[in-house]
Amino acid sequence: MGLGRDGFAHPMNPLRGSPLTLALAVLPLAFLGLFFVFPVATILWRGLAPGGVLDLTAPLAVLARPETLAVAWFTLWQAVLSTLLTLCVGLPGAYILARFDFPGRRVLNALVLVPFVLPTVVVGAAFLALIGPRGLLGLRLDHTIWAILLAHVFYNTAVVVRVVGGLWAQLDPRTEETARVLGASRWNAFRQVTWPLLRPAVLSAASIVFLFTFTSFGVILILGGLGYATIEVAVYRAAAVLLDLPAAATLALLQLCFLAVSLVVYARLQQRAALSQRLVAARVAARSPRGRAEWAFVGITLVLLALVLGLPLAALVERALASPQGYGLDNFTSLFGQSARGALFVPPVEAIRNSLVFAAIATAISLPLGLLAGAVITYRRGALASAFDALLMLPLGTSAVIIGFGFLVSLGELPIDLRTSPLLIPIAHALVALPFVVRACVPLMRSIDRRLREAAAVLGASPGRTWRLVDLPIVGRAALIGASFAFAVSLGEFGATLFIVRPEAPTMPIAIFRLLSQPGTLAFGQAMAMATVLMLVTAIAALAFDRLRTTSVGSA
Amino acid sequence: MLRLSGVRVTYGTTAALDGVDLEVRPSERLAVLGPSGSGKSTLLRAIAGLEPLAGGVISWDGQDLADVPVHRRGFGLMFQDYVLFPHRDVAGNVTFGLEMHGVTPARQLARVEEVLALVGLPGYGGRRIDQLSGGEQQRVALARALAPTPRLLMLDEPLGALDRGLRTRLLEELHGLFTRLELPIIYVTHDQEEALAVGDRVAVINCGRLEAVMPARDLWRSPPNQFVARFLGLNNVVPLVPARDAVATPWGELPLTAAPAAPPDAGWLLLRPEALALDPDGPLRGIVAAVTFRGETTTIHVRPTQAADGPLLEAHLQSDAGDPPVVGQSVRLSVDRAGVLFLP
Repeated sequence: MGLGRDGFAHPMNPLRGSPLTLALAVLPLAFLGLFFVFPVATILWRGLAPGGVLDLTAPLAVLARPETLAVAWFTLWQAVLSTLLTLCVGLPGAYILARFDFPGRRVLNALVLVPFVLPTVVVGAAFLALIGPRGLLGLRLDHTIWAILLAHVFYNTAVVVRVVGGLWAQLDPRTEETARVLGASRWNAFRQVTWPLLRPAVLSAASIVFLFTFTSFGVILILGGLGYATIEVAVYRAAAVLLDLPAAATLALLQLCFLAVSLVVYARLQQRAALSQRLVAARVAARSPRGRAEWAFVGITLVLLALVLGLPLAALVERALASPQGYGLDNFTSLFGQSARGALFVPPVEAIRNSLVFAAIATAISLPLGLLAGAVITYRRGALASAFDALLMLPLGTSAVIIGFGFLVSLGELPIDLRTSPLLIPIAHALVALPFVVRACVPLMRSIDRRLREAAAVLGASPGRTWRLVDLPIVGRAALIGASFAFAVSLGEFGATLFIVRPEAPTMPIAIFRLLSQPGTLAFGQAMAMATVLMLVTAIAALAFDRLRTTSVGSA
Repeated sequence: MLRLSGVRVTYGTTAALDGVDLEVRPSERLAVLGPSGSGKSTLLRAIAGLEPLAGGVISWDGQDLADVPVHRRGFGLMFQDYVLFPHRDVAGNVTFGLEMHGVTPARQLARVEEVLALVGLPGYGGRRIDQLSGGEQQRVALARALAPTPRLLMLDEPLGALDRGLRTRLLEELHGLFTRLELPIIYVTHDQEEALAVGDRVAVINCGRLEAVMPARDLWRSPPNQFVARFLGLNNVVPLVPARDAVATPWGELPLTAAPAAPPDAGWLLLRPEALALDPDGPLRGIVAAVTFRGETTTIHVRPTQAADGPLLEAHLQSDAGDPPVVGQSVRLSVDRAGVLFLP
């Protein structure tokens, strides 16, 4: 079958540049418009124009309240402090994982990722298991700033280790050796050569950690008690507890402004960071530690990582297995019975079923949308495509609480009231998961080497057949990764769900949260057991897609 | 003066350097020649202090360097792909060593101009690293290594990353520069031409052991053993088979009258390719398997008449000595006495 007979002059992808790609963008755009832009715009409209016309008196009054200032200040300083502490733990970890080869290195590299993928509710539960009133250590650090800071470090160390360590592992160690030979002491070689090369990655990791801790919600709600509130928590309390919608809208607006500023700063940092340098394969750079000092450094860092990252998880499992009758599976079996003190209207096991069903539906919604959007971003270039890409990332920058709040205030105004639909939660989850799905798919789709298509075409494959033989296997893999991302994100979603969940159909994170807020041994045990289940499911999913992502795809 | 005795470096259980003894005299240019993976880079790293020793001593003027850290040894080292600091410009790279040694900014500036002129890049101080060509990067790396006036300069395959034309030109330049520098230089390469051109003496290294250390001309004229001979590109090496009044070769018996001395009982026979000539009465015979015109000389490969898979005899014929034979033709060759060597 010749090329001419198919009417295609060029062995290009049939989708590239054709008007068809614009049609592909319609569905994702409609989804984002209805479930993201419209709700967020409604919040803004309600906040800035409560009477239907622009009227800033109410928002300004809310902003002038001392509570608002206190909340904003607390949000800021806890985020800065959390970021600094995370760097203190993460940078030595990044260093030893990047530069040294020691027994258990690969396992550690994978395990560092686990806390990061855990739902915030599980993180909160794990810290209560360690330092809460029924905790393993018998300390009472919950409702203190320490619990919040520790949980943030626990949660975000992976960001520093992966982002900074990823670059560090690829810096040519001979750059530093050259500095040494030229007369630089170890410290000077680091300060003058390694640090300047590493700084962009450190700044990038620090901005991500800052963003995550600035918008922290579940951790603060569970560990902070009533004494501490980030803007995110304040939005939730104003909207769902105090029923003060104008205040909630104003706070949400404040949050959006802060986020916009930090995203702009982040983009600036990224631009300036572009510095061409030779990178080497990571395996070349790592070697066994030498001498007592290096072994001691590796050992101390490993102990630190084990304490910060391992201890809370160990405590969670220990508390889940502990019951008044001694160690056993009592807490787990009790999930099939009634929930403690009527914290839930259904047996806790129902929450597991709900979560799995919601996650399946959310995956089914966000995966096709993500693949369509990924195709558009991959095959089209130009300002329009970049704008589309940026729009897709917005739900990631916006907080989950604002999305949930937006659903609450806006979806009643549609012709069909979606607020009672069982699809509402999966839709919210799909929206939160969509940026992850797109980001997981695009690199793989881009990785398809044009020359592979050309080779297939020269060998006589028609464009359609080329797509099926060359593109499809890789897109299939992208779909698998995207799906596991969507599933994991949906399983752990808490902030948005909290607004729109119906009491008789809780998800796992909601059930854990409700059980944790009840007194009594049974409620605590059930919460620990369910958090352990959720931890295992998400950790397994995360490690699976980490493997999928890193095993190579053939061409670069 | 640098002295190594019994130096061992191990990676895990494998020895990258195994009992190396070596001396580098003042102002001497020592070329270290070896195939890849032979331990020649490890040798430089060990001298620089970048690899810990598993055994042996490295000393400078009698002082053991074991407790002298990398940055206090005062040696210069240039890596094969230069490893320039990407976040500094050319001047920033060259001044690095000066800054580390506490040289005042005014003197730094003067020294930068001095060494940049020395390597042929005057006025390049403000250039960015990614604006330089491969040859320019190589010169900047050399200038950077020379700036703090090291007491020993080590170069690891300095021309390895460049294309052939540039290599030949830079090799001549380096040679000229080295004679002016008056400091000991260790020059590591896998290219025998480079080693012979640069080194006053050449050390041949294989599998972490030194096979030979000798003046370049002596090494070429009489390689000490068959490994060195082969590595120098002398491929007419066959096991020595003494016969009565002759030495047996795959290409026929070579009468002892054609040899400079009586052969030992065992070892290897080397026939230098430039010592072979076409001769209708020559003792060596075979069938021409390949003819390669190389300009001044023409290389022919001759296989034994009887054994079609026997070793090829390589002969370098003067091109102006007449028309070369053609492939498939039977030829006879004689060998000049000086070109017959017995190797252990």
